[in-house]
Amino acid sequence: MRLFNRITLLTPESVELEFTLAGIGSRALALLIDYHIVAFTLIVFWLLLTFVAGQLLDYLDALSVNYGDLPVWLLAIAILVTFTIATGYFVFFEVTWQGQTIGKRFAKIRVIRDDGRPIGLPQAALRALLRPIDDILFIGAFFILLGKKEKRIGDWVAGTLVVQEVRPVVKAAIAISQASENLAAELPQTTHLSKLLPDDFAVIREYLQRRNFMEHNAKSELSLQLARQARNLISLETIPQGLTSDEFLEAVYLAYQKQGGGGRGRDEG
Amino acid sequence: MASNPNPYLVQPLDIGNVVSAGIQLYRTHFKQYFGIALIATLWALLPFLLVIPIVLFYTAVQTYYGTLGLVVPAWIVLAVYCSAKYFAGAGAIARLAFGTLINQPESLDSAKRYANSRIWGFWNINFLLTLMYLGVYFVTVVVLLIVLSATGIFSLLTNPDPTTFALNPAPLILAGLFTLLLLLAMVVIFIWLGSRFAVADLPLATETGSNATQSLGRSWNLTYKSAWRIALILFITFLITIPLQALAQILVSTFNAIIAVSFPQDSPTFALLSFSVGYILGLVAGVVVLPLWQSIKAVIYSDLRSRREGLGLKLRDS
Repeated sequence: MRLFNRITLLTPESVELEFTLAGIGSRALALLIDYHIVAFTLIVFWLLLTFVAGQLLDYLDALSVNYGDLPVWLLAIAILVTFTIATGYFVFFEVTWQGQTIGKRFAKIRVIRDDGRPIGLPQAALRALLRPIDDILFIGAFFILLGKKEKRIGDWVAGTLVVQEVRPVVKAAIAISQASENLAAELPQTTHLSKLLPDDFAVIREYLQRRNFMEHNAKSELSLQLARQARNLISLETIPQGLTSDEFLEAVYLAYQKQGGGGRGRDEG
Repeated sequence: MASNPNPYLVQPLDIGNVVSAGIQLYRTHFKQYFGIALIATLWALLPFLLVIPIVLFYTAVQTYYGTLGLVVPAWIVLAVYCSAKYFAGAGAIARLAFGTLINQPESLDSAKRYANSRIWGFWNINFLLTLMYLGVYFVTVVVLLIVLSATGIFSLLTNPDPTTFALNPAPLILAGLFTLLLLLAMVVIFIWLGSRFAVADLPLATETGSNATQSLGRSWNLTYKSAWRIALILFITFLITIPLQALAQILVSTFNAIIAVSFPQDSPTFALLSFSVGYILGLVAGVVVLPLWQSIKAVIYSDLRSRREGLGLKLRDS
């Protein structure tokens, strides 16, 4: 079954692009972070304002100037600034960071236009201005939950989509032992390394990258199982003496990569 | 992986995606999961409904109090059994969800049978977890009492003497701060434990030959170094249930307004109707939310197994 909604877009250049929609979870996470940042900024602003306004009024009192309407003006400015912070935060970041806010960057999602282009000021502004309406009674949340394209009202009006960010994953370097390197040099001659498919290589690489976080017993078992399967795939009789299953997998990984096959791995593209 | 139609499962999932995946799982299997949750919740409700006729009986006849010695233990046994049925239902949902995630879907009946055959295991897990949380709570209270009485603040609190307080308010303020810190620590411990045991019923529901204590141990091992990530997942899930609760709240208010048209607000009929509506809607909300938690727990569990055990990392059979 498909766990994430996908969408295929046709760009103005008639190129088909496929995106994975952001999903309610990532959007809630992004919103949680963004609203905390906005709230924190607003608290700091109001504290500062209270302090500055107090000082100012004290100063004017000391000068015995009749300042009459000043407090009302200060309040008006404060309300205007509050609105600017609350809306401007989203507009500013979504425009300058190509559809991302701090929360969205953390949640690895991005706003794009319906045709796949990056959003501009009008879209970001519409989304931000309609945000309060989406927040009333959680209307936006229901729209995202129930709609096929996961659009809240702001998205419908602005013509935008929120999708998962396609970001090349920076993986930890794989530590390879000396014994593995020696074996890797022999493997192309002694085995049918070409029988290993890019998908198989991807699995081995995935294992080697993630093994450090694995629980000890489960890791040993998995390593042994993968090593046996890999050995069968490349038609090797026995794993050389004195080599652990991990070292054997490292050797296969290295040999395959040196052969130039690694670049064709499916998730490298 | 070409052979795997679900390439996302092999890669570890981000926090938001765990929640989205759980919700999608629930959406696509709504009827199935909701049905199980409904029956499970009705089981949990049964003992409480039975209290009503029992109370009515004794108030009506005003005698036979001796039989209470039999009725009360029988009721407790029933309550234990019914709660076990509830936990087994939750386990069945988790089993179905996990089966779907690893592309080994199972029939509804078979999942129910499996969970029901381990009914006391599920009960034990929940019983042990409850004992643990109560333990943390009691330890907190005892520490608080010991510290407060050892520093003499307890006697100050029970015999408030305004003059001593005015002379030296520091001890009381310190005591207040200490209490606050202790409560905060307790909440943090609760969240942390809740995350470490978040998938406690999943191993029992999915791994053959697992029992209650092993299941708890598995949850503990799998969540190693993942506690705060899981806490955030659970918190996001909670946030998403808020609109649902809000919806229930709105419905309750609407119904109350409708009832208020026909009955005066201080009449017993109004109170009864209003209470029943609120109660039933609360129940429905509980039924709706249970599969959500179970689905998300199933995603957390499969994700943890992928991270900690490489679940799904498999080469072709040659």
